[in-house]
Amino acid sequence: MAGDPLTAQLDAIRAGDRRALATVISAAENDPRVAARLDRELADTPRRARRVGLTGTPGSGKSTLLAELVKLLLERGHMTGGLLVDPSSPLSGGAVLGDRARLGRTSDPRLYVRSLGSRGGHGAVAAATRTAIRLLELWGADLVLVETVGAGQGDVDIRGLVDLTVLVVPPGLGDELQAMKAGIMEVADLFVVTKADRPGAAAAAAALKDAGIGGRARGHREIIETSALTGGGIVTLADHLMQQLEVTAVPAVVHSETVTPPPPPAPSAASGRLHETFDLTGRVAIITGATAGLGRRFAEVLHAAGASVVITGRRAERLQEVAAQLERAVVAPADVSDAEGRQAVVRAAIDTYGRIDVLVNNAGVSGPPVPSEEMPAQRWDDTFAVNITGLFEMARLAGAQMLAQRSGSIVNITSVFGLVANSPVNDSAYAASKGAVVNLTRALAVEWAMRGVRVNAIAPGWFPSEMTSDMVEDESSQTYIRRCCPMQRMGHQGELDGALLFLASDASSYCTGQTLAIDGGWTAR
Amino acid sequence: MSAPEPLVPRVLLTKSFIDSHDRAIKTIALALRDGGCEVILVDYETPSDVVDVAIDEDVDVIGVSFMSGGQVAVTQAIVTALGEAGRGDLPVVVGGTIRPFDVDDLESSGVRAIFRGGEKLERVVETFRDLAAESRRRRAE
Repeated sequence: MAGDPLTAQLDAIRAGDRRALATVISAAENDPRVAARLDRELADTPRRARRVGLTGTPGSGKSTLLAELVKLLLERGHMTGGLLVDPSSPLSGGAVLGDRARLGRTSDPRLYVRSLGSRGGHGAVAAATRTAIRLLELWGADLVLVETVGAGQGDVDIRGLVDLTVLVVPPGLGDELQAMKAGIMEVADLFVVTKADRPGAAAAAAALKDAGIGGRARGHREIIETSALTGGGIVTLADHLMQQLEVTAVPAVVHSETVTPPPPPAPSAASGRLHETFDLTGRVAIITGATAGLGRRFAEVLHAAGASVVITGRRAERLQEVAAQLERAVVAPADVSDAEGRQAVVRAAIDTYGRIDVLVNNAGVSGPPVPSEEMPAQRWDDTFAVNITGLFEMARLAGAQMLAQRSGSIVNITSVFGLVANSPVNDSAYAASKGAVVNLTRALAVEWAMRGVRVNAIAPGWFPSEMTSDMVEDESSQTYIRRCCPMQRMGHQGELDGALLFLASDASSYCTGQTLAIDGGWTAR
Repeated sequence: MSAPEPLVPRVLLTKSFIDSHDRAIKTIALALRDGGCEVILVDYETPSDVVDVAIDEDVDVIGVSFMSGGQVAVTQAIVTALGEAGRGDLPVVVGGTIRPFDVDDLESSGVRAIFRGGEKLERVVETFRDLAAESRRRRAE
């Protein structure tokens, strides 16, 4: 990376260069590939600001409120960043970015404010908002305020970008039924009724009392009335924000970025940003059986897509070797057939990163071919203990966290021999256990479909791995593969990457309960 | 890998105390919006405010609107402050009530275009877009 212009600019931003900050935000806005690279490189920045989102309908007073807050925050000594998002024209691509006009003079070395056109971003935020927040943090902001586009009832994406979502409500909200609706009312952590000097403010505040529980804390939300005209309520609001942030914000430590919930998948037109749906920046993934072979590859692929990974397997030294090659990795040695081991893995993920977004249930065992009538009972039990019971228990433990988050993707690694018989490589225990994985995948998927957790499976054909190492050079094995596989070869390293990324990411947001065979056509006959 | 999004020109349009006599700047802002530009619309108190916002917003062109006075003095101060900030490359356009005898001084101060009223909006937009493209090219070199 030495000599790379972007790296040099990031160094400059880190040193406080606001011109470099402005330039790099533009680069992220203009090119999603740059944004994706920045997201990856800044995912683990130790600088972490407290982030507040101000959202609400057009004209609700967000900009004026933000301006008042900025003044107060500067007085209190905060390095403050402001991102002001206004809508881009779907017709011309242009925009009038007018929020800054409310700020008045902004020449202060502790303040950086940037206007952003939404440019295809969804849910009332700009496509580059997340990246711009990270850049502000790199610059040194300890507080970042994000003002959304004038938002509608369903525009909730801001919640995934900030620690605290403030819904700005003007007088004339409507009756309490409006306050009871899901969406933006539901995700707000705090309500601010602006223009409190005007008629209708008290009625709006009263209606909001019927909004019920919501926000991150799933509790009753505070309602604060403010008036830019009189200055009333601003100090109360700032104090409340700081108090709430102390409670909810993550301290500035390495890996804190990864606790940001992933944004919900949003409908989008086909565009140059399609690849972003595969982005795992900020996500946390557990990979079992990650000491070698496919599992190691899975960890590397998810990490390369931006995820922080928790890798587990029985051989601690091998895990350390894998982790040494990765920037964001936690090692949790365990045998998935052991209950305490499984719990330790999930606990390590939650203790370190605060969440689990992806579980790749990869660990599996098989044995040498054996006629079923001679299958030892212990081998049957051992195979099932890893391939199905261990997999189910890992799904259950990680799934509990995902259900609490209302988001997550479980990818079970089964086999083509969970779909078809594996004769003449007779291992009925393996085939039965992998077949069980296929239908367990369906069962879990249907059970959790409405709770934000997707469960899918990959059924690899023959791939080089520790389990198949003796087949790679063996001519009779290769003859068998040429005869049975329409593509007449084993899979290459990397040919599972796409399927894994698809199922682990938002790219498969409408896909659950499915088993994707990556087998050169083995099961297509 | 997909191609980058097309360039969106960023324009700072500014006027002292924008809450009065601002019909012209609002008209230009809408025309630029419809011409595919992002327009940061602010008022300013001092010429250095203009420069600070231009740098933070990473704009490609600055447009300054005048009504009642200061056309030459303020513009020269903005151009000088841009140079002192190392951004003498940023093109400045002025418009509004520009008296005929100010034109020479404005041009000699480095202003890239002057719109005194009566121009077609298409030409105004084209001028801003051309200057923005030139500004980006120069910075990329």
